[in-house]
Amino acid sequence: MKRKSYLTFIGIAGALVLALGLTPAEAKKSKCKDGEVTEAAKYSITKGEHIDAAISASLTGNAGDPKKGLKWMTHRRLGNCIACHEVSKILALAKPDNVKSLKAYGFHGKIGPTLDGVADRYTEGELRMIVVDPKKAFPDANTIMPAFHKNDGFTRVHKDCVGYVILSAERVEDVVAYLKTLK
Amino acid sequence: MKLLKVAAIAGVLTGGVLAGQALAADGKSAPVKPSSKGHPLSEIWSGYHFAKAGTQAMQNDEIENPGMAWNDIGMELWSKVDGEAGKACASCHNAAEDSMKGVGTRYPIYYEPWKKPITLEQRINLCREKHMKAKTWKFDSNQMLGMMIYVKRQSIGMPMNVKVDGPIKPFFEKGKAFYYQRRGQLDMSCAHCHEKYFGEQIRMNTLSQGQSNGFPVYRLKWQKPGSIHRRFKGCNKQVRAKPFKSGSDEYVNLELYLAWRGQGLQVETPGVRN
Repeated sequence: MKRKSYLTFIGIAGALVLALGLTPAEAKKSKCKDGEVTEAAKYSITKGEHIDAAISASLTGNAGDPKKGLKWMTHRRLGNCIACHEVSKILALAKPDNVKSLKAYGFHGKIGPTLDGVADRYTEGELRMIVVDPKKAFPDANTIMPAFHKNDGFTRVHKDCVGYVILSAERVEDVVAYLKTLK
Repeated sequence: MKLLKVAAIAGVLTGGVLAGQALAADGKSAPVKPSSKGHPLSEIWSGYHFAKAGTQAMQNDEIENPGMAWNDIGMELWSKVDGEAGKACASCHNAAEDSMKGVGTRYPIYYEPWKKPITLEQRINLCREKHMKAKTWKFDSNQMLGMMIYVKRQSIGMPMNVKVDGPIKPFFEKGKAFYYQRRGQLDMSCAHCHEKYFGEQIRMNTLSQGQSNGFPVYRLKWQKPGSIHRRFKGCNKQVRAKPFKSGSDEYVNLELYLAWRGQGLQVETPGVRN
């Protein structure tokens, strides 16, 4: 590029940066405040069939949407379930020649058990309890799994997330609806 | 006679192999066995062990290792006069290769005037303030990172060996409690990732034991070196917990406890990690 046009380019680029407020700080999103919620639904815990605790009633009173459940399960900031759990049905969506699908659906973690067949191993109420608060579902396991629908009782929460649940009641139901398809 | 020759050769070979195996227990290709009673790990591995081959190769080569640029910064600063007392580090400490050997294996140490442990960064700042009458450096400033890498590198290959008994013991216990405390919205403790699940995958990342023997490390993610306290902050933020400040009591105690967990691992500063 000729020197004069190069300088013009820099000038315009700089003006754009200032005008659009494209600073590195703003590029970083809050871990919780982007459309998340602080309300935690009230629920009753009953005894499960396979584990001691279950939440038999839907948190919203309605059934969730399994298509949306898949979305939350693979979303890195929300459920991000495949970070720790292998799900063959989701792995199948990762096409080796499509980088976007690999990034979205590929490379599952192996921290927790596979979720294949999880709907055969647990009732709907038990699945709901596990997603909402696995410490109540597995009290003796010292589980690493976070409580996805809990907004207090933690130690020293980051200022972005104080009072927030990871998954809203609606999203919990979506995830439960998807988990129910894993037979 | 021939049998004797064969036996002798076999003996030398075996001895060589055994000696080689003993030398290789550096936490890289072979684990270190902890010497402390009641150590929670049966095998101690350096973060090097969990890194990809390319990353390991980058660390091994002094010219390829991106952290070494900061080693040069430290080397320059060592002989540079700074502050109102008209001194450089070298004025009191002469050649770093002699005076700083072993220093990198011992910190954090108990500092009597403060009645608590201090990190090597804090020790460097104490020297600067008291003896050089110079300004202190922030933990992750290029100067401090440079000096830390240069000083710790004088202990390269030496095993980590912090003292945790005596007056420092209560702070060690606090660091231990911190390590096992769940925190953040994700409600995880250090132990959950680094003790229970090291070696396992979270998406594409392999969890390490979270050891400190390579610090300050050059992190490919940061594209520059960083202190162990910077890493603590990152880890705390990752579990959606409010981080503490560099040099805070909480992080100094944690650093002490972590150094004990990594006992026997060789100083690898500057390590290269993800």
